[in-house]
Amino acid sequence: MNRLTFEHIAQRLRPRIVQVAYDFFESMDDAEDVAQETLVRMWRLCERLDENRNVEALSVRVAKSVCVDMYRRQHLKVIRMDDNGCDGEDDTPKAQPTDTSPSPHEVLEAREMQGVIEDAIQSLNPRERQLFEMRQLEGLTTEDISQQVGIPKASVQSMISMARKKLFTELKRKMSL
Amino acid sequence: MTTKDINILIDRYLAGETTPEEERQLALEVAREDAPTEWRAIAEMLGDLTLGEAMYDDIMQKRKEARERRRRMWMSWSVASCVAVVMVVGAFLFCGNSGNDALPLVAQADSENDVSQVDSVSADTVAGKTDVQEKSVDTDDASMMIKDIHRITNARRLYIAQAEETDDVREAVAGEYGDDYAEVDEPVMVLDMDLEEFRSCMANLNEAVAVVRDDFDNE
Repeated sequence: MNRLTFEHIAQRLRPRIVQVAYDFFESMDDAEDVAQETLVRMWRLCERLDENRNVEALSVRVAKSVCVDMYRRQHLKVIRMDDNGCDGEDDTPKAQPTDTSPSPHEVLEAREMQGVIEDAIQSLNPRERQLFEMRQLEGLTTEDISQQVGIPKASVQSMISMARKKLFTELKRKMSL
Repeated sequence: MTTKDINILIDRYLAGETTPEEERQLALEVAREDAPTEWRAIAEMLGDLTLGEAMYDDIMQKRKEARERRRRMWMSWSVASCVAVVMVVGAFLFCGNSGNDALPLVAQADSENDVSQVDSVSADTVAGKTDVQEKSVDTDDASMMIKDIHRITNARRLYIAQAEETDDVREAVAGEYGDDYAEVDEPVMVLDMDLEEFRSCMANLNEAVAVVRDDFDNE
């Protein structure tokens, strides 16, 4: 999917994304922030998706994920009273904000894991990869996938199972589980 | 969910048998901080999208349940408040119209020439100097009693006491006075009594009527 196509799609997706976010935050400012972040993530995903995918369903899932991330950032920041932080003059405890963003080590670990998953997905055969992503990204049911792809439901289920078992084995090996 | 349930769900996930909703539920379980290490691979496979969607739905559901609880609580308070108001108003009306005597108000008459208010069953309070016709009164027939009272007091309108939610008494009071009863456009006094109590009240009233009748006869 090229940039021009994505820009055209983004205009169509934006109202739905804003609605999902507004339902959650009941604030238009927050909804607009979510829409912006969602479209950025969508662009990264759509670079490797073809235009025939159900990007609307994907955009709703991404929007929900962004809403939760924002919600956690807003509500998990705490002001921690440092027991030893009295300033000495009037014994007033000193308030110190606690940073809840992931550490560099956690960020690196998450990136490595994402790389492992993407490599494992790429190692699947094209049909397995297509079905896996249709389920993983678009959240389609087995019936929906069967109708869209035109293969029997039992075959869809079997191929998704094979894809997942391959990924599971590869991940356990890389994670040394 | 128990650990056993989650492991069963993981097996079904790997077999491609789970629904998207079950996968969202699984994503929440394997993402817990106390989840076993061997579930990490499943968490990574399910991915951030499934987990994010599951958490979004979970938060929205909890908010909906909280709003519903607040609404039910508000409804309960509203109903309780309304009941309390009705009871206070009802008590006020009842106490305000009950007489000093032991017996409750059973009838209130209003006429152009004379206002005869039977606020207690005593002969002195029954007034109304109209033509009195001797008539034996059947104390068991409430409708006949009402007719006598009406005739004696020259009442144009008769407020009829009736037992609360007692259809028998209403029918007895309506009786032959069905039309008049229907014409009563003032609210009737509702007393909490059953048919036997009402008959007893009417019997006492009949005694008072008899006294008045005697007085007329002796004049």
